[in-house]
Amino acid sequence: MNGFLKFFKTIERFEYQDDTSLERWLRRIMVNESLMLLRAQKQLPTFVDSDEVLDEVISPNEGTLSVEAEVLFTVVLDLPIGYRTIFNLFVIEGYSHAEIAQQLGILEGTSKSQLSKARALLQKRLKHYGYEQGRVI
Amino acid sequence: MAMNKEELFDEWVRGTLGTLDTPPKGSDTGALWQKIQADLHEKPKAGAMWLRAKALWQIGVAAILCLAIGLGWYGSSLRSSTPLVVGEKRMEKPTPATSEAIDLPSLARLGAVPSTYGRGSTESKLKVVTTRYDGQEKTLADSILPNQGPVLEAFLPSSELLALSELAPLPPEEAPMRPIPSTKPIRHKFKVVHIHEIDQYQQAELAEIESQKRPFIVVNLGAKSTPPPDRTILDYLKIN
Repeated sequence: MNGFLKFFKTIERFEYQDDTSLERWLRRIMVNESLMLLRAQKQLPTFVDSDEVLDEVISPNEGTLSVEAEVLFTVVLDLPIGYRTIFNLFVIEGYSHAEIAQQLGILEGTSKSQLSKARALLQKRLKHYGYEQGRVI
Repeated sequence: MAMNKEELFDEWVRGTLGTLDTPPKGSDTGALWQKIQADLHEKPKAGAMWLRAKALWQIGVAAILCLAIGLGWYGSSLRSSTPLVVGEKRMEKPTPATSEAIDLPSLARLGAVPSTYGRGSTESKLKVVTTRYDGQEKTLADSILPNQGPVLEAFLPSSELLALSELAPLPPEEAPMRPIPSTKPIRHKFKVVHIHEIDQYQQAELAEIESQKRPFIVVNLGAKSTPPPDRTILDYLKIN
């Protein structure tokens, strides 16, 4: 909610550039406010490796289109907090590994390793929901 | 450039999640909007305003203190400069002479000032005192000139007095004892009168003085080798 409050209070500073500029600006505000809240509460995620055996990441094929968005969203939420944080920041929000490392106070190598493991775990869990192995590109 | 499998997977996730146009299950958007509206229109707390006013007050007091200290330092630096003292009174800052005043070089050309003046002659001595324009206090500047006839009786402009004080310093016994601050600006006036017209001038000036009690200066170009004794200007006019 703090993110929305800040968005409405600072709307006059927004400068329109294209149709997606407002969405990008709002995303940045929400992510920064969330991280600030976690930092204030000292609840930043700890990054530990999952005990699950992970396979190599594969590319999706046309069959994966049957996985619904809500299912994918639920599976992403079920990821361990460290994996989920890195995955959201990199894949969904578009942060670089350097920016993620600075925001979370970790090394870039940690961010990269956590991301690759998040992808592998996500794919493994999606198989139960119709995620099929695709072609090798 | 072809995307690798990881990038393809990321692109697929972004595309799939981008199709979500409904809020997550279990979220109450109405309640969330009500709370956001309440916080947006919330008035600032009195305590916060008081703290802000207190901070502004402290900044203002600090600024005033700095200004006062600066003004005090500036005033003390001005007071430390000692004023010029000639005679028994403190001289004001030099004021321009009136249109009727004449300067010493002009007097020299008229023969009123000895040729040794201004050349560091040790025999010449000038005792200068100030005068007030209101007529309550008037003195004469005497010059002891060894080899000349005319006597210079003049009130000198303060700028000339300053020059004289530098050229012919006063003897120690006549050094100024203490400065007396003058409350009114000192104004000097000069007049040059020919010896043949001095009688007429004296009568007219005497009448004027009697009516206005205004001091004036007479530059006597006649042959007087000895300096007159200290007396008032009226006594001088009556005698002559």
